[in-house]
Amino acid sequence: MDKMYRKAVISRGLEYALTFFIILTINFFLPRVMPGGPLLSIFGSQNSDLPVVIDEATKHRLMDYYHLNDPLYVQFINYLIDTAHLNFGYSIYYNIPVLDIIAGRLPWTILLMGSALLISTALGIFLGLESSWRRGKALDRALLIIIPSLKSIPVFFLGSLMIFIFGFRLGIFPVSGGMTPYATYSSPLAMAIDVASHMALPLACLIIFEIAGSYLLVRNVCVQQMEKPYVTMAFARGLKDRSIKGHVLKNSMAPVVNQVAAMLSFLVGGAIFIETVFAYPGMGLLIYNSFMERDYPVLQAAFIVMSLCVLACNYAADIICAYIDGRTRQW
Amino acid sequence: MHRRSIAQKLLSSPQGAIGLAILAFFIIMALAAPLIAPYDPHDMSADPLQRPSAAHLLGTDDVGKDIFTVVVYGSRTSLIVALAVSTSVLAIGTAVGVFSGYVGGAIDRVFMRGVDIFLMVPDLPLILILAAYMRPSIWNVVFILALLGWPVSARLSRAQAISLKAAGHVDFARVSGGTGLYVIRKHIIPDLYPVMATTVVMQSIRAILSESGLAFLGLGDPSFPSWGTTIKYAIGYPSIFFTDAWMWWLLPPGACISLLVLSFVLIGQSLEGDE
Repeated sequence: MDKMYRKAVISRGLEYALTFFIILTINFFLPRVMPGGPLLSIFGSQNSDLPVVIDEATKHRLMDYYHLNDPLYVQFINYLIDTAHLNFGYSIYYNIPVLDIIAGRLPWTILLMGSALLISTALGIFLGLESSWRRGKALDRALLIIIPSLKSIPVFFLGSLMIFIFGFRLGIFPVSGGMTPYATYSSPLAMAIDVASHMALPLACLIIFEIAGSYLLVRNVCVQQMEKPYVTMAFARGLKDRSIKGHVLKNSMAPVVNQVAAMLSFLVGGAIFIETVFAYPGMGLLIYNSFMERDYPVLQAAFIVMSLCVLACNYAADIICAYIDGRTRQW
Repeated sequence: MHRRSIAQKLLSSPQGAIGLAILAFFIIMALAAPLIAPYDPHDMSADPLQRPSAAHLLGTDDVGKDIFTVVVYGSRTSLIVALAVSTSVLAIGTAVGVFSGYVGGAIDRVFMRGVDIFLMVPDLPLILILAAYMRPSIWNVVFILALLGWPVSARLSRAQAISLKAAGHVDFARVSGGTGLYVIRKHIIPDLYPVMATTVVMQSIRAILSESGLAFLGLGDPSFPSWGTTIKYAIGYPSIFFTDAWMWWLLPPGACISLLVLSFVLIGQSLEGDE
């Protein structure tokens, strides 16, 4: 059994590695197949706001400088080697290594998205379980209409409303940034409070954005579990509600962990909007800014890093699932 | 028979009826836009930043556009994108899914592996990369959304095709000498109508939210007025929150997006029925 488990973990890992390789390949070929060629994408197009005029000699020198005259396979191998060394080149806009920029932004996004994922999942589990417990009753029916409706509010509009209500009208929370600029903190606690208060509104938006998915999933899985004979048996034996819920929840955990990880790629999209609206200094805002500045090296490196994070979390979820649910260990 | 059962489901539940009513409201708004809106959506001749009045029901924005007109025309953009994306996703996804599920074997495994890879990629960053190389055009947005959307639909219709393949009537048709295409057309596609309806609803939601979101991020097509663009300019205006302007500049386009998406969410709920 354990040997099979190990084998399955390795073969799953290879599948994710293949997926990542394909993402890298797409990322490599995109600028090269786009009209105008790779140089155009670095220096902007002739019909953009700031047309760049390059004479032939300069163009050739630049092509040489970026090794764009090498055969495609040599370029591709060099690209893979560079990526493996986390060498993403220089930002066109900031003129510093892309890696430095990303290293400064990634912790903020991990903090924001990680908290959003944890809280919305916990809420989703709580509400989903209670809802399936009272299936068909008033509470269940109300939740079943209200929570999925939350996703009809576009997340950037929700963010704008939050800024207006809690930032301007009530003045409870700061509306932009990750922490107060130029602040000196008397203690680590003061700093934590400042960071948390800046995170409150974006976090609330992301939780609302995410909750429908985890709630519906948990409710559906639990509803299926409630129909199983062991639940009937538990009721017949007169077990306390709390311990029956515990059993149901335990048996529902595997798909929940899996699906929560699968929703991560969706959450990345939400983070781009939310970080843009709140000027939160994470990867989402970086992706938006580098898109606006057409800072292609940063944009593409950010995409690679976010994809890697999503894949890694999915892989981790697969391993955890296999661990908590022996039946899926064989895959 | 299947068509009628979908329509019956929709009309018999309160959610479905409300959803259809809201959707009908927006479709009429889009079709009759030139009759409802008093100005041309690209007309910037009014005085900027006016309060709502009889001449300008929702006031004017910072460049002198009538906000009411822009909001009315915005319904066209949203519905066009929803229609184009959901039909193309439906066509590609159903074709790939049914083919993959019906043929099975190695082809099926390769196809589904590809679908899994597509599903794992965070799509908004990829959309922004693609958009950074493309011209801001509504058809590019449709193209990108369809390109990244079909795998979900393929998964759904494949699962359904596989379970149908094992069903008695499909087996019977095949044993009686029906060719693959004939069996798929006569016996598998009709049974896929409920899955297809769900796909259209889900993709419409995704398309409307993505279109307005991309417009909000500055990817809007200048020749198609979009609710997302209106929100972008509204919150980009420095003193929007210090005056009452948010009520007629920010709220109406946001409410329109939310209501239109809500109509599809309600329709989707009534299609799924009470689980």
